[in-house]
Amino acid sequence: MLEIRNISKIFGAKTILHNLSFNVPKGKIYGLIGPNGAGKTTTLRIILNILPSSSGEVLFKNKKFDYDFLNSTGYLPEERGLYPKSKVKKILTYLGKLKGLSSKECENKTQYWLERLELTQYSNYLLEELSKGNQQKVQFISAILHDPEILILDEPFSGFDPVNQTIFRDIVEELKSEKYIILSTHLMDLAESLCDEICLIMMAIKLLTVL
Amino acid sequence: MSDNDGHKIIDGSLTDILNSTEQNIYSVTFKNNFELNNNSLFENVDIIEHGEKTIKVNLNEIQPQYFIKSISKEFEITEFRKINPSLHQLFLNLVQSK
Repeated sequence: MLEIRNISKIFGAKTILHNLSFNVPKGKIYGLIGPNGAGKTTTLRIILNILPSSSGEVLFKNKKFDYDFLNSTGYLPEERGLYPKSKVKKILTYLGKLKGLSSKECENKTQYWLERLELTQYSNYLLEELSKGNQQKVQFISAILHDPEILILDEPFSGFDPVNQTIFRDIVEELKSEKYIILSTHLMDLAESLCDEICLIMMAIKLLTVL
Repeated sequence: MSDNDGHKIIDGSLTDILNSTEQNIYSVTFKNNFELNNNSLFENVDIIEHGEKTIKVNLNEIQPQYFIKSISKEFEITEFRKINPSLHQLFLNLVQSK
């Protein structure tokens, strides 16, 4: 179980998250949904240790989820961040090695996923030469290449046309049995068709009046 | 000064959440074309959608058993089905009620 326990985040005088708790079970797709600004991405970043929480903790299999677990984690961020001047196959191989894969494993898994997502012909293209949807596919491969136990997907459908949304949805469904998957999205129809469990977070706008 | 103060509104199994949402809306399909014609049977309900043979109706405070019993005296019903809200509708309801 991936447990998020009472996490809060305060930036200066601003409370972004207040005492948020939820449990992500294995083998389910867990949807984190909410309006813009509710703190979904902040929550994901806290789980991943990209941001420290102001209070609370994240536990994985009853242990504090810290840097030791990062190789067990795949993250597809909302803002795509792969180097645009990198070649597709080269950057995937590089990232796979960073996540602990051997050269051979990187080669085989990269080949598999490029074929699966119909990107083989673009193996030696620069990322910036690809369409937005294909760049998205490459970023997705980088998140799953090392077969992480925890997969965190932030707005994974943005940039995909309906055909690719279906392909992507099938892959996520296929992967879920052995993984802990958190998916954050604004697309409610897709969330409804994919998610087994959800957590809806919302902001409570408080106005402090100075008299 | 404003505070986002993001916090949890609801969590759990999506199926359970959608099933537990209180909504007294039903889809009713009739054997023949349906004409309302100021029928008093429909005075205390809201017809949300009106097709040739199928209507979507919010029963408000009326019990579905009572409604079926009343209208079946005048209309032949071929289908009566509860409509659960979609996640999209649930999201809108929760966000707009805040």
